[in-house]
Amino acid sequence: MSDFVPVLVLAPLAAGAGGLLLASRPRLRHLLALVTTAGVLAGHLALLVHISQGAGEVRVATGAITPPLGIELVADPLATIVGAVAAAVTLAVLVATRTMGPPELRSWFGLMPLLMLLLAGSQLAFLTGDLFTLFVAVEVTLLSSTVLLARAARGSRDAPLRAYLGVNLAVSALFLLAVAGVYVMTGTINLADLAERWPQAPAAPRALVGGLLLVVLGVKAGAAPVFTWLPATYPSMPPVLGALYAALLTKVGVAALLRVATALDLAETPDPLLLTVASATMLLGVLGALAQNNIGRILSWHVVSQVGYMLFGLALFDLAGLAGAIIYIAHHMLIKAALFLVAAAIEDHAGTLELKRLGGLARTHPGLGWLFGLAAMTLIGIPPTSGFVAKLSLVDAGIAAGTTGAAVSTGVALLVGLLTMLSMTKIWIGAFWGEPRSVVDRPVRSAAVPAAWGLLAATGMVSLLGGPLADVARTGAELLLGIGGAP
Amino acid sequence: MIFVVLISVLVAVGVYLLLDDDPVRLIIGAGLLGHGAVLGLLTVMREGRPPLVGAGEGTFADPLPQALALTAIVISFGVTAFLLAFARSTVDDAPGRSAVEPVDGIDSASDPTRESAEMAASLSPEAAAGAGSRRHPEHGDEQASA
Repeated sequence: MSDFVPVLVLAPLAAGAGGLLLASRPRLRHLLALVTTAGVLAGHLALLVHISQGAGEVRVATGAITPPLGIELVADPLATIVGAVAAAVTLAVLVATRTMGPPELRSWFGLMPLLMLLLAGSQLAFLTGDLFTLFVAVEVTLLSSTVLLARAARGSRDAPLRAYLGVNLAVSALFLLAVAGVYVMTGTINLADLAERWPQAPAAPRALVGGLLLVVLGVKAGAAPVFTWLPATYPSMPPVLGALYAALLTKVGVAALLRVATALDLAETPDPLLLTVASATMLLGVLGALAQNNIGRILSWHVVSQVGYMLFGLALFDLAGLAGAIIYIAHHMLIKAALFLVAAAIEDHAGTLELKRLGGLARTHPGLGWLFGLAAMTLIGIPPTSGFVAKLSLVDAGIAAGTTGAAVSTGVALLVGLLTMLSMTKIWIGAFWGEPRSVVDRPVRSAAVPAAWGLLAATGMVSLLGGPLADVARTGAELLLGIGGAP
Repeated sequence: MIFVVLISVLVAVGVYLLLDDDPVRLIIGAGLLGHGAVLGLLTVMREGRPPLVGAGEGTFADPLPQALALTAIVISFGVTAFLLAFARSTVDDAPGRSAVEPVDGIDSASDPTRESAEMAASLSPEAAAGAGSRRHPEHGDEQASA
């Protein structure tokens, strides 16, 4: 069972290289990407079934070097759930980019290799069991996403690119310094090994290096005081690629944050500072979204707000909180990508995402209206949807934590749910109600709509399989916290 | 101690340069910052004989930080190559500018023209006009939020 775990990283890498060789064969190139991504998805689902049947986690020492030394891959519930969802989103985006997005980008030979590199990097970031490989994986996703951003950004690409590069390059160097700090204090960078050796290190440098790691990964995740690079860059992407960025990139940071913070025991149960950060992220993100009048911008600000929910689960730092965070990441990646794909279809039809220039889509395109309505309800968390399952598990955990800080954050989470509804209503009123007034009126024939329906169906599966998923996520939280769990 | 001072200076200067708008400074800043981090990795190394079988007696030097530093150097090499290509394309995109001139304010000079040409190719004429006028406030907004 364990042999094919490295393939989940190597296959997209190889497909990316193959895509470069197939520069003159666009159809074959696209088919290769689809097959590879579907294979990664199937591999993760098989792993997930294997794990949920009692294995708990699968650890692989690559190159047969015994764990504290070599590169260890850990396919635990966090990695497989998030990895499977990442593959599903990539699949949907691949389907959508075949027929839409700017034509010169669609036919560009570098698009498919970069998408595959992005997938490989994020898979490695989810699966890796040591800090330095995490750094390498983050660099791989950073470089591939930057090249894609440089190529695909509309309007003025320099401002978003500088914001993205400046922030991320500084963060990468600090991350490397933090890794060096961890190594000099403990003599290891393997996370499982660190869980034992870290508490024996002296307290003062531990606080410094641990804090540095939290800040670095917090920037990557888009946490409260340091998220401004995110809404500055994501809206400049064509929404069809924005779907991939919103789903994959910040979640690499969130998943790494969950893994590192639990391995090094960087928080209390519950942690007042992290609760404050999480509440601020939720609130500032949703307030920023309310202030926008462009669908792409609204959705990008919502990414920030939703990261706050995941941090809320982390800040509780107990079984229920972390399990809720894992479910929330899965739900969020699917629904956010689906919403961005809807935005892509709207832009394909009307040529704009400005609410002022849109209207009456519910009358002219009822199918799109249903799609957006259902996706928005899932994002808000109306009962049968996966948003309800994910938010319920977090709110439940927040109340069970029992401290005043956790209760306040739970209240903020509920309030932010309400404000999310408000800004989704804003899109609904602006784009779907009223008189049709699009300047351009092209038929929506893009594959983004079926792709978004597919992702929506996947969120349906998340809520249908809510029970088993909650059990697996709980096992994942046990493994993260290092209590109980299967061997 | 000398390493600590050196790393601090490299990181401080690197961060300072990263804060600038100029792509060339961005590249130099990223390079310096990367060097600071790599030096940080090397200073944590345990010293000793070469880590080879049969290369003498006693404790051998810790090979892991060397491997990490090497990987980090390769990555920063790749990043620098990409940044240079990016800076070059920024300069090339600007009409009537040579590669040695400073590139401040280039985006407002180059992109709207290219953008509207693309839009005109894919949309109807009045839409292209509308889209062209729409870009400017959006651009200003981005500058503000960045």
